[in-house]
Amino acid sequence: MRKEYDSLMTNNTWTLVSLPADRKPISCKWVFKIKQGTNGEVERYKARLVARGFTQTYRVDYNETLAPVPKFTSIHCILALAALEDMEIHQMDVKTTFFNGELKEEIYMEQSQGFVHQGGEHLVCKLHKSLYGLKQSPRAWNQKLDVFIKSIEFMKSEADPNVYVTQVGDVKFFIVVYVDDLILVCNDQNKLLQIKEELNQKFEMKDLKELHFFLGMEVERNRDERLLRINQIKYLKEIFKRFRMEECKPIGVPLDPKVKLQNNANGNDESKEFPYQQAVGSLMYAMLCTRPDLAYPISMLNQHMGNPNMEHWMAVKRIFRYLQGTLQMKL
Amino acid sequence: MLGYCDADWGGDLEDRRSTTWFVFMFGGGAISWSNKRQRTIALSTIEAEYMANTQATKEAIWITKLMMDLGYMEEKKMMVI
Repeated sequence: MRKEYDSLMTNNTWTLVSLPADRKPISCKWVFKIKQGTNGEVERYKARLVARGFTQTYRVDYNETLAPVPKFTSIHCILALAALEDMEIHQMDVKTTFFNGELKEEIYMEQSQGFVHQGGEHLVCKLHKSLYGLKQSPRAWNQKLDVFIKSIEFMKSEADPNVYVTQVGDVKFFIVVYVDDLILVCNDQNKLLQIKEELNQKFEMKDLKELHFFLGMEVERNRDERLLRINQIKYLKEIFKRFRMEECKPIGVPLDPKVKLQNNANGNDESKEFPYQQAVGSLMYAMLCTRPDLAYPISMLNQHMGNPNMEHWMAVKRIFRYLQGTLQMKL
Repeated sequence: MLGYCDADWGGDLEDRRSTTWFVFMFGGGAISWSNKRQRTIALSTIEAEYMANTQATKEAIWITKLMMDLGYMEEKKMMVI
């Protein structure tokens, strides 16, 4: 807790001021976490100060909150190009993402519990940097990163604002930004090292070296044959567990051709009995990432999202059974 | 780069709406795919196919733009079947 507080202080996150008469401070909270090692033993205790974003008022404490994320198509395109051209694909993530974002709005926060300034009890914190929990934190971070990547001579793609490109002679370099995860794609080792170094100097980054795992997708490469495959075996196994379907028997076809899904005519909402929306949502993510074969059955299920009945739930279960049989399929 | 699109005319027995379906292939892999119910009721197979083609072409234009940004494609190298 002390350490977190000190890092906030050295980062110049806020200054103590007296509150203007027309403003209300937002509250904050300490969140504690126990980091466990692989055997479940206590590794270290972690404390994090979060702002309570829900106490913010629109147009007073925040204006714009949207932060863009890339389309899956862009990620697929870039991975395909990298495979064809035998480029390096590396991944980095940012350690303290949101503290790096700078705030445009004036935000006042109450002093944190246990760290009230002696003799300054009536003062509040005027925030300079974003904190976890603030509504505009992701956006503030995204803009800061955007400015930096442009300053090291990258062009933002017009088609997808999370893709950055630079090309000098034969050296090509792409960056895909997914909030605090960066994919770096380059056909030149030295350039890659140089850009990594520049990013590292600006932000505190973790270099994850070659890309193996990204947003629930596993990436395998065979560089001699210029092949790249992505699969989601781990993610699918997790959702099997979440919906208690790990023991189900595999099946060959995802939808029963004999059953025609009807609208729920009698209108009684049975959705409380099974997690229909959550299950379809999880399957939808798998479909968007790596499973075009699910596009049709899922679009059928999607139409009944608002009012599912037992029949629809049976169809969801059938898709799970189909997936069980085709778990190893790769793109 | 190749794109394939198709439609089923009046596939939904209740409201007779058609479904658009497309997929784009690049370098031996699928990079973009979609399966969506059309919002307008098509009066003929051709009309349904035409709407599917529009959807796929929109996606094709977007992908072309992305690839051009990445410095990999000149215009008119995309084919939609």
